[in-house]
Amino acid sequence: MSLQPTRPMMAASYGLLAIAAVVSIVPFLYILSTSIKDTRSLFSYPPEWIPDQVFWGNYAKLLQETSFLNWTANTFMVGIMITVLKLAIDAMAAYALAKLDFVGKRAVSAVLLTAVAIPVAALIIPLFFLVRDMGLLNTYWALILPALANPLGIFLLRSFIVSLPDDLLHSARLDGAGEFRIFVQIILPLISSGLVVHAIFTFMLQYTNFLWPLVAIQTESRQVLTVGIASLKSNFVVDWGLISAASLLATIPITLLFLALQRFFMAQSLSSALKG
Amino acid sequence: MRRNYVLRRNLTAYLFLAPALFFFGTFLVWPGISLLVQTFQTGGVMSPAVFVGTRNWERTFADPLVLKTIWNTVRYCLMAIPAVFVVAMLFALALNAVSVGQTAFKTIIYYPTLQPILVAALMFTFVLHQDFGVLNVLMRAVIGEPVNFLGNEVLAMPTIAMVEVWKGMGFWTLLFLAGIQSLPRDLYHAAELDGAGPWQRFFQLTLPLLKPTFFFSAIFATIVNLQVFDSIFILTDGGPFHSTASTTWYIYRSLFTFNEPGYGATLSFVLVLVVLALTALQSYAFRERA
Repeated sequence: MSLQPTRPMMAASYGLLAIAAVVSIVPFLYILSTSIKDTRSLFSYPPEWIPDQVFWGNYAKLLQETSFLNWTANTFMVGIMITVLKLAIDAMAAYALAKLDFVGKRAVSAVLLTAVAIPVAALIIPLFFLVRDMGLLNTYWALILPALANPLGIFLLRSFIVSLPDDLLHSARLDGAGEFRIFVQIILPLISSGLVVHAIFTFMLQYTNFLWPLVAIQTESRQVLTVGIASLKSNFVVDWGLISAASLLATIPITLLFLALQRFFMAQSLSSALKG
Repeated sequence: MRRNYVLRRNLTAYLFLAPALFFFGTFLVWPGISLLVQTFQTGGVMSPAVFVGTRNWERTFADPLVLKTIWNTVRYCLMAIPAVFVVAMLFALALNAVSVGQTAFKTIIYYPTLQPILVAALMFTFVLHQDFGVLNVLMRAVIGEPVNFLGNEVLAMPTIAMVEVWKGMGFWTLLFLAGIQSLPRDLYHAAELDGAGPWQRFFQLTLPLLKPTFFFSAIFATIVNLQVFDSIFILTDGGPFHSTASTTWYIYRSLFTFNEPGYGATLSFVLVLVVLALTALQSYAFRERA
């Protein structure tokens, strides 16, 4: 639908997009401004957007007096572990569902697909007890293992593998290649863009996760970023400068990732558009 | 020989599936079964769980807060999802109409979507705070006084929904834009030749053609938003007077504040039923009108 838009429509579109851009960006600029003010000048009215004197105390306090760096390291460690394991597990399952014949294939697909509709928030109580009985409460494994259960990624990768021509596999099989070799040497390289999309999706989901880490981790220094930052707000006297600095720093890793892999982020939306 | 081959073929396939099925079974199917068992139990955190028959269920039906949290959750979805869809559709149409700067606008609008909902909610405290919130600075300039968005029973839930609109608009905008751009152009040229104006083209071509996109989007958004928790936890903790208490908030509180996992399990089961019922209803509604 790209008919030549009329002039007023063009103007209205730019107007709307300008509003959208302002609404998207102003909160970020405002916490940036808050984070470089001391708390007293925060309450001055009208607010100063650019303080006369830049105050770095909030950042210094965040890095020195809280476990912010620990939380960041934990988030990355857990996120990377989950992403690597999940990619391997889901790619293998996706290959079986896409290209191998076996008894019960339709049943396995149907069961996995049905589970996509189960709200994970409803499982936190039984998961809490399961992880506790395994002795994993308060460990990284408590965050890593349950994240591997979500079957959505299998279907994402399956859609990439299904479109590969069968002849490719037939000729490899005739040459005597085993299924595992075909999977590693032929399939994986051909679906690399699918793997990147899945990796980003998985990592982002972990990076933004809040409820389960809140339940599964009690030790403050082992916490992930989201819960750690939230805990800054639970002090009796809320230190707004500290919270704004923490919120702003938490946006940086994901921003860098986004700028580096932008075209895959957009592809993520695109592929969900096609498959729901 | 033949049977041997079939056996090996099946074995290979299940070896490929084994890790996925193991984690799926252990951390999704098994907790699902325990959830059902736990609805008939009490205790379990400090002391071993005890079987209490249908007591949790009787309490669930008698507890007015359960109905209230379900209504709050549904109310939140009814505000957040249509709002974010309309806003995103407008942005998508605008993006589709412009050529210069499209990529830059796409990047900027998508940016809030990248943030954890928790960080988005925290940022909103800086937007809404009565003394220094940027929206209240605006309110003071326009109506002369700040508005207590989160402390007001009527305003609190729409305000929470606003966080979701802000965070979600980029995602849905790009998704709808991808949908619009995949529509067949010939149809639009034909419609234009037949004298259809832009409004007619939008309502009689674009919207109906995007129905499959809307269908999956609505189901996906419903499943995600019925679990709303993070923004409520940060901004209101269910208040004022439980006007923003969602079902997930109640589940979390019954485990950690009220120390009643059995009751929380029953509430969780209710949440599953609500999600399944509403997604089924949507599938039915979309199919009816097809």
